[in-house]
This record gives sequence, C-alpha cells and structure tokens, in this order.
Amino acid sequence: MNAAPVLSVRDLNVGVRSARGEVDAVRGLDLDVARGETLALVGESGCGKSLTALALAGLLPDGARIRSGRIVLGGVSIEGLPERRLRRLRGQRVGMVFQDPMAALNPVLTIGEQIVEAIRAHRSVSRAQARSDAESLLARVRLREGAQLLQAFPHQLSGGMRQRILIAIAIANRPDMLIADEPTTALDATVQAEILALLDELRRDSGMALVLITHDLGLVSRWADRIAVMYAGRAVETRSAATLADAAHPYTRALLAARPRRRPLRGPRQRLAEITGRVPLPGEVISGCAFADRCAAMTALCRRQAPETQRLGDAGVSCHHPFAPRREVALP
Amino acid sequence: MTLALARSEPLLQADDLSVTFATAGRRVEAVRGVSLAVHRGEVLAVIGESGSGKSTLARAILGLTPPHSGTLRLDGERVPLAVTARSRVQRRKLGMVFQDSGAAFNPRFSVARILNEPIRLLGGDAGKGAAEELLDAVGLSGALLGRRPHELSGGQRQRVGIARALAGNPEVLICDEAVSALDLSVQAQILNLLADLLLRRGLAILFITHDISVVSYLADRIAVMHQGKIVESGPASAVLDTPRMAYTRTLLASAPEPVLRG
Repeated sequence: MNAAPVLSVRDLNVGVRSARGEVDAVRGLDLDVARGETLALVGESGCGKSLTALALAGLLPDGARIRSGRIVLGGVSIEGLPERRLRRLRGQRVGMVFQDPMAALNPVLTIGEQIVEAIRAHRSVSRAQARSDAESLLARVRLREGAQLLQAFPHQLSGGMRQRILIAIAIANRPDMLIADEPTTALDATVQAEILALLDELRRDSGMALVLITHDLGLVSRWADRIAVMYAGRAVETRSAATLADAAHPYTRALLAARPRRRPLRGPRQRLAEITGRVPLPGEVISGCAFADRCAAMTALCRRQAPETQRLGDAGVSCHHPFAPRREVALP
Repeated sequence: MTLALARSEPLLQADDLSVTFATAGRRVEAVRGVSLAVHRGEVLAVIGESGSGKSTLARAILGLTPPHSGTLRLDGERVPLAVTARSRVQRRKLGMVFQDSGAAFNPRFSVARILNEPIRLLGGDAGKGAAEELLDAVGLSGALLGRRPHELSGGQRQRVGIARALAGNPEVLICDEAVSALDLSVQAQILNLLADLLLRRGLAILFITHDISVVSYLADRIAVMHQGKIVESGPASAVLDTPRMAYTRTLLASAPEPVLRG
C-alpha cells in the first residue's frame, strides 16, 4: 500500500443530463487503487459504479461528463490534458471489459481484425507484427488454436470465449489497470469462475491493478483484496475484503444481511433482512446522509449533516454511527 | 404435516415431456423425457446452465412451446399440452413470473390495466377492488394503481409481475429466473414474498434459476437439468450436501462462495 497508487481519485463529480437539467450521478467520490491489487467496487444498481468506471476509462456516453474532481493516473494528473493526449494516456494505462461480450464486439469483423485494430490504435507496429501479437494474446487468455480463432466471427464463439477475447483486447497494450464491469454477470456459473480465475492470473503475472465492478458480494471475499461500497454516487465504506464481515457502515451490513442463506433443515425459512426504500435518484435533493431514510441507526444528526469519511482501523467509513469493530473480549 | 403433504396428489405433474425444435434442417431436442411433480406448499427448484433446457421446460409446461410428447396433470386432471387447447379453468391454474417483469409489461399501461386484463380474461371477478387486493397480496399500496411501469422501482415492478401472475388465482406458480436481475435488497424482499405466498396461498412453485444461493434458501427439492434431461433430483439438503452426479458437483462448486448457513 506504500507504493504510489495506479489510480487516485479525489472529489470526483460526474454529471448526467436529465429532464431536470444536469444532475450529479457521482458525487464527491474518493478512490485509490494500488499496483497489483484487486479492488471490488460494489453497490446496488443506480449507485453510480458503472458511471465511475466509464469516467475513469474515458468512455462516458453523450450527456455525461466529469464536472469536477482530480484523477491521477500512474502519477499523471489528467486535469487540463488535451483531449488527444488524454485519450492516449487512458488507452495505454486503462483497459476495460464489459458485462455483455456480444454487445462489445463488432459482429461483422473477425476476431483477428478486432484485436489487431486494438493493438495498432496505440502502438505503431506492422500488421504482421500485430497479428503475431494477437496470437500470443489469445494464448495469454488461455484460448487454444489462436491462428484459427483469429479468422472466426464473434457469433461463432461461446459467451465465455467471447469474454476472453474482450479481455485479450483490454490487455493488448499492457495497461496498469483493468476495469471489469460485471464481467461475469451474463455468463454461466462454471464459466464465471473460469473468467475470474483468468483475470486474477493476469493480474498476478503482470502486476496490473484490477477493478472489479460487481453487485455480487459473494465474488468479493474470494477474488478481491479491498472493497469499496458505493451508495448514491460516493464510496461510503472502503476496507480490506478479508474484514468484510466486520463492515462498519450500516449499508454494507444491510447488504450482507440481505444475502440469501441456506434454510434450516427443519422448520420454515427464516425471513431475509430486507432493506426498505430505494437508492436516491441522481439529482434528488439529499440533506445529510444519503442512506438515512433506509438506515436503522438514523438519528437527527444524520438528517442534518452529511458524514465525513473517518478512519476505523484499515477502513474508511462515511457514517455518523458506524458499527464498532468486533473486539476480542479478554477474560479476567 | 409433511407426511400428509407427501401423500396428497401433486398440483403439477409432468411425465416424460419432450420438446423438439427444428432449426435450419436440424432437430434439436431441448427437453428430453422430463418427469417432475410439485406438491402444495412446496418449491421445486430446477437448476442448470443456459442451454440446459430449463426455460424451455417452463414454456412447455405453460403450453407456450408445446411438448411433442408426454403428459401433464394439474391438480390431478390431465390437460392438453398446447395452451390453445386448454380451457380457461385449466389456464387459470398456472401463473408465470418472468425475470424482467418491466420488459414484459406494456409500457403505456397503468398498473390497474396490467392487472385488470388477466383478472377479466381469466374469469376472476374484476370487481373494483380486485386489482387492489392483488397489490395488497404482494405488499404494495393501491396508490400505485395509476402508475405506469417506468414510474415503479425494480422491486415494485417485480411485485406487480407476481401480482399479475396471481390474477387467475393459480395453484402453481412458475418462476423463471424471477430474482436473478434484482439487487440484493430487492431480491430479499421478493424471496420473503414468495415464501409468504407459499404458506398463505398453499401454492406449488416451480422455481427455475442458475443461482445456487437462492436455491439453498427457497427450495424444498432440487432437480438438476443438463442437456435437456434431469440428471439428478432429490430433497434440497441431499442434492446440496451429497450430490451424486459429477455435473451437479461442478455446478455447486462454481457458486461464488460457499452457501451461507442460516
């Protein structure tokens, strides 16, 4: 953690155009990603995690833009960089993998054409060199018979193979950081595990950082080093994945409690802990803490004042009334 | 109570169902000789990967993709395989909940209209309060009757989807990936609701999913589907703890975390 972070984000605000004018969907986000680590970005839909990823990768759609904040990528602040340099910097340093590999690949181009294009977009190499690089990339993502595969079209491949191709494209220029946005949600469970194992292997081999965006808390403990829980456009809790069960923010605790658990062998199913209410919409006026309406620990203070981020052990928590860390009780 | 249930007639019983598609001159057997039974108050989970035939099985039982062979019984009575040949009373007995209810609704219809249509068509009494009663059954306020689908949250939409499935007062509910697209907070609400309905209405639920942790919470029995066949079935605890087939073990091992103990 002492190494310079690959990515450092401070007070990031991403605005999106809406019927009510421009509203902030990411509000004051702070985030650090260290070299070689896997950070899981977790939250319900509408919390701003995908928009954050797109902002970092420089892929925000029309109508969305970074309004303010500081993003430092590999030691270089992107503030004020001309558009072309910015695009090159991101193309070289940040790779991105999306949820639906079929939608992300061009259906009328061969796999080879698409990988070669990705390589040549950021490196001036000959076509022949790019083609041979493409073959070794396929080997790196554990696809066999690369030469043949380069001739194939996306629809001729399985979902798992397509996701491997996208990963190959994303790592083509040896990025410092790979952002994977729900990379396995559209895949079968057995394929999911294989893809996550591949991402983990590539991270270990290359030392790149991996940002795993997911709504699946189950993935976190198995694959991530750290977790950042997003709510209403900001990170409300960041901590080591190993201590997830000791989460301090009431929202993180509520998510953990809502997970389906195995029913008892006899007797009725126990009710799952629900989180009532809903995530505030972008642009909704939030006074005080954004989670207050849904929070069991809410007090008048929460209504009045947005909580600052405080350090609790290795964790950063934005809450007025965090759960205390579990302590070993010393017996007299 | 369990003993009494076990002796009663199943609400849904399928024997040797097969579904074949003909595509581009090729015959694809999507469902191959599947037999299953679901009793009142019971959840049978059908698990498997995409392409295993589990969704086709759901559509086959509904009669939307009629099986080319096999028999189907609802509450002991044999029913035609094609939905078009089924009587209104027979059609009422099955309700269906989809993965993304929002997409299944006509976006221009109000919640009242989404609910009143099946109430009327399935011969229920479409009295003034019927739609409101359905909303009440799924824990929603009647104030939502005037809303359109896009004005509802994801959880509200899925509840309306369940309310619509209950419109004909069915005995069997077929849920195809009914909670797969939902956030954890909403998923917990819908699973609690299904568990309630099971007890209060004495439904039988056929629950089709790929999500093992959801299965471990909800299922009484589990059937594992692979390449169109049920390759293993039994009480949930037996299939989860001592799976007999290698395929079942692979499927369980690939769950992102060990199933949480209650």
